[in-house]
Amino acid sequence: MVQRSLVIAVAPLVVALLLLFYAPNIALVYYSFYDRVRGVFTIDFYLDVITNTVYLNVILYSLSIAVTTVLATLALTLPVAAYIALYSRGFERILLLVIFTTPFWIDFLLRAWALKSLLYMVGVREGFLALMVGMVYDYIPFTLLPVYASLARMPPHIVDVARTLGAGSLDIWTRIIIPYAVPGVLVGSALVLLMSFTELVIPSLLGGVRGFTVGPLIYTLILAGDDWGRGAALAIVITVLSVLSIVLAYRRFKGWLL
Amino acid sequence: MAGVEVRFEDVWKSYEAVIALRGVTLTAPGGRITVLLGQSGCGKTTLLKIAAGLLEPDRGRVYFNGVDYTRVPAERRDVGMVFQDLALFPHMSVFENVAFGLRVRGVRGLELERRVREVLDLVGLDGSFYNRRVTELSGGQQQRVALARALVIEPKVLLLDEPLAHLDYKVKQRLLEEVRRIQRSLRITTIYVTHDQLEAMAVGDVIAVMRDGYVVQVGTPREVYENPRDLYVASFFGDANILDPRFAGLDSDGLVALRFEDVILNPNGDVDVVYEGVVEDIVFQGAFVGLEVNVNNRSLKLLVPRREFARQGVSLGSRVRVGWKLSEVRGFNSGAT
Repeated sequence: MVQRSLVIAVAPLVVALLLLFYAPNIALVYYSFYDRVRGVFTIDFYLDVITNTVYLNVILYSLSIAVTTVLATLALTLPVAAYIALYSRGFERILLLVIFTTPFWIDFLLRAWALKSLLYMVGVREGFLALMVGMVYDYIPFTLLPVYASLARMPPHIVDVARTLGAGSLDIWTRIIIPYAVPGVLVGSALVLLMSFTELVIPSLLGGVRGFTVGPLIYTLILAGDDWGRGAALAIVITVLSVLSIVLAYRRFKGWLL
Repeated sequence: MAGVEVRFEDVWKSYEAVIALRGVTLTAPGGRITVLLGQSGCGKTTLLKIAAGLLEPDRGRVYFNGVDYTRVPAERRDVGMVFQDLALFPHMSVFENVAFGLRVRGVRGLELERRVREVLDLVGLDGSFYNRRVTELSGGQQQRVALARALVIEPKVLLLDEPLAHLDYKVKQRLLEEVRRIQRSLRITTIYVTHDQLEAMAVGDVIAVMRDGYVVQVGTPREVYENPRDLYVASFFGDANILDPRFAGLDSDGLVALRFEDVILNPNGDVDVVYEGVVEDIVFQGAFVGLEVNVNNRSLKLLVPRREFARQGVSLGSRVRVGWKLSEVRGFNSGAT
């Protein structure tokens, strides 16, 4: 009985995903192989995307921005997550979690515009700095929350026991807290990497000339240049690269997952 | 090494509204096991954490061999601590868990391996365990790893916080014996926290009974058992009937305590007080049989050796005589609770 009612309850989401995510993606695959002008199937778009140094440069540039974003959000959130998970209790803990996540109750686009105005006020124009500030700011909860969740599972006495064994704070960070944070770090990094790699709004609004990353590139190809073939091929290459990097990271760190 | 003497002097500690310790003065003699015994909330774990340097007392001092250690932080105290939840490092193997204290001290290579192996031998874990994950081990094995991890740094003092609380009876018995064996072979000063009086008797050279932030009595297990300072100790450390003194045969105020096993079933002379009663309950406990006898609407409990019980052929509803020597009745100053 329960199982049957669950199947019915699950159906709307499954249908929505099929119609709104999987079907468009299949369409995307189709576009990436189908040359509308010549009316033939071809792998030329992929060859173009892979061999065109302009695209390659944009991809590498975007990747470097994404990786920087990941590292910066981790560096900023790890201490906060550790403090909340290890040293805050009860109401203080809830308050801290709320304080660090309230900015994200505000609409994404609205926040980007607001940030742009604020940065103008302090004299920061569109460019690399504004782009990075925007990226890091937007993705903080996606590393903060998973890392916090990982650290919150630490038995409270782990740090105490390490101290009695003679561990100073450096040892405790490198040998206990960071290893414990690894699952959350992996999940958070994967989320931030995937999202920031193809981010469209922040680079467009805050990046200026430095904002030409793969997000805007795909947008330009498909919506401005009506080049569906190249746009689709590029999107798929990016997706494959992202998934591949996640799989590799998972393999590399599988032993660390508790 | 004779072992480091740990001395607490007038130690006070409170958490927000709760006063956990109210002026504890206690000496844990060098090379011996001192048990802090009490119910949860009596302050025993707080005192242990103060010994470890994980908490600082609000007032009072802690001395290791006469040297003031009150402000020395945990990482520079050389204490080995085992927590109730063990707090093993789940992301490390058995070997790495034990090696931790040596690695942070900069011990490397062959010496590291030798010392880890020595201490794992001591707790009875052979080479087949070294690369196992601690999460794959049984409760007793995890316990051994936690003990080895605390011992590997050759601590001045070993601090054990209810280390065996979650184990099965049999495993617990065996580990209690091993803790004693290891402690004797290393002659390391040990402070052992427990709420379990049987555990306390099994490992303790010295028992410190704690209640509401005070140490109420200190002595060897036998001293405390035979001469409890008040009714609380009498009924907490061992079991006792708490009786009206006139019923027990004394002419005094307050209440008196009489150990279950000091009440004799169907005595043949050699007792000072005798009553008749009816057996209302029988609980078989192995070596002993617990009886509850109704004497003039007072319930009296006694423990009878199994053979003696069998010889007497007592059953539910039997009319029996019960008696005791007045020398076994412990009276306390009135006002003692």
